[in-house]
Amino acid sequence: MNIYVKLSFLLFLFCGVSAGALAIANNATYSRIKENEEGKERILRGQAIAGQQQGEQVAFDANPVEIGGKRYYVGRLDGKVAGTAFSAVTNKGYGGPIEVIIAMDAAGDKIAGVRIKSHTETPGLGANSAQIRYGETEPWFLVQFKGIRPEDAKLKKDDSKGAIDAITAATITSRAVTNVIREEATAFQKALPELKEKGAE
Amino acid sequence: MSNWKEFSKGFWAENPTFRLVLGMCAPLAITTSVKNGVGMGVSTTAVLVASNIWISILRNAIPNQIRIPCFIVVIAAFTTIVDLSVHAFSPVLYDALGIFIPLIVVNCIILGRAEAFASKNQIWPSALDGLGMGLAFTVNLTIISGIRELIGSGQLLGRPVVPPAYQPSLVMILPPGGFITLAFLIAGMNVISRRLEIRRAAERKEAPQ
Amino acid sequence: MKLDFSTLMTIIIGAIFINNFVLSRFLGICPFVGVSRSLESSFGMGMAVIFVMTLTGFVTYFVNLILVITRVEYLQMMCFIIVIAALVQFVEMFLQKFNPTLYSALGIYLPLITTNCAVLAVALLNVKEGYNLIEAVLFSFFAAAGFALALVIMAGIRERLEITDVPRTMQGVPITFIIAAILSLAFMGFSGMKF
Repeated sequence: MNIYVKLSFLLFLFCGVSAGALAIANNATYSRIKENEEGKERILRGQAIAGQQQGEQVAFDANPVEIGGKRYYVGRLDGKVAGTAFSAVTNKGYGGPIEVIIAMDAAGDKIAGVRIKSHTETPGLGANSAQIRYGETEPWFLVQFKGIRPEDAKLKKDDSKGAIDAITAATITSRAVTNVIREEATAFQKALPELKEKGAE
Repeated sequence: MSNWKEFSKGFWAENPTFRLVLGMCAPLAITTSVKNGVGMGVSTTAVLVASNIWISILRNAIPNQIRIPCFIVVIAAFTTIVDLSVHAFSPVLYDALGIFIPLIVVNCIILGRAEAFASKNQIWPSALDGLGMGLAFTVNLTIISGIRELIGSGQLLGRPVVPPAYQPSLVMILPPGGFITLAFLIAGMNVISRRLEIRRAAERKEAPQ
Repeated sequence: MKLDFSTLMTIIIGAIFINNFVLSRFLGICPFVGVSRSLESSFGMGMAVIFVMTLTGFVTYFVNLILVITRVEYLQMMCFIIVIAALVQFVEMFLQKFNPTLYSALGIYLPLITTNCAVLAVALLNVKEGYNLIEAVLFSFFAAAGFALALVIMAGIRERLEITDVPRTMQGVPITFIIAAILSLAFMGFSGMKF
């Protein structure tokens, strides 16, 4: 019996020391990881509003404006309102839910930009929706949404008035992204008066 | 000389991926681009070297009956440290590798080296053994991911390297491509080693006469 | 606990077919190559994995709850691997004592499961996807079923392969991987299924 006590004590000691080492490692990296995780979404929102290059310079108000359970982040560039970003999810993707961040311009009637936060689309097909081609600065599929009116966010193959070219061989993904952007951007315009009232001047 | 042997055996004679067919999950799953392959290889090497050194130091303190749980605890601790570091210092890589960083802990190569080598040898050879095996694993991942990225997306390290007329064959970066690449690499390794053996046998026959 | 039929179906079909652990997520490749030589042993291994993985999904759910409450999430991986090792050991002892027939059928496969990365992966994925208890157990069970399915299909093909004329270079592991690639292509046909 004695040997079992000794062995379990040793194993226990081993786990204890390892856990201690992990606590130290965790302490050393905790703040950085948290900063990264929070920074990731902030930068994506910035990029949606002001494009890939200026994304990190967009400053957001400390608290997002909340209307009907949805959070609207007002972004400023050099002190002036540059646009409003919010996120949306669609379940119509090919591989699972797609989370997009949509930004509207300062006036609130045109789309300023779009970024994809997370997706599980097929690599090389649907996953190309967030791809930036080598040598280019903006993701080529998403940049089509920049500066268009919400009602024009339709695939060319679905509607002759549409402004968006689908990704080759990934129509389901393209349609899902385009439709969620149109619906959410239109919904945003309904919330706009309240947003102006509640939020920034 | 013997130190060199410990270091170099992982590259050919005991190549973990192509010869021993151990720890196959990562070489298949994350090798869609060279960047991921190298990142995964380096993470695994770090865990392998660190756990080999610690197990070698502690080898006399660990009772034989509970050695496997102790090894697993040591490996799990180092894997968590690597996981936290990658998360903190390279968030993009962390997103790309996903759950395969925590899964380093069940990579058979690491437990295998701890059991077969580090628990029986001095610190310096154990460290070399870990480093050699880890680097060999990294080289394997780089080769596999290089082939897959080149054929599957016409790029290397995210740069287009083939003429634009080339139509990338998408299947190579999808799951089946991993299996196909690995199958042909292992088959190629078999051909080469069989040729070498035949030549060596022929030399042995000629030598005594 | 919110139970939505279509979410559950998505989890189930996703776990078995669309994101099959072996053929699409590349988890548990070692036993897939190692134990798929005969139909009988692959069936035994499959059953053992289903048993252990479902239990793991159930137990690690509560372990994770404790870790989150005590704010030591960084110990997650270590706790999970210890829980799995202990669970395998416990299942082995339990079966040996109370169900010797089952033990003699599954016995030799049980110790192999500790180093099967699919088991740890299912615990980690449950946490990552934020599944609740029922979803977690369902996901674990059906992911394991997907693993068993791939294993049994593979073993069936490999048994036929014994009597075919495979080029010498491709014999053994290479031809196994080629077959796995074709199976994987077939399973890709399931992606995009909706409920």
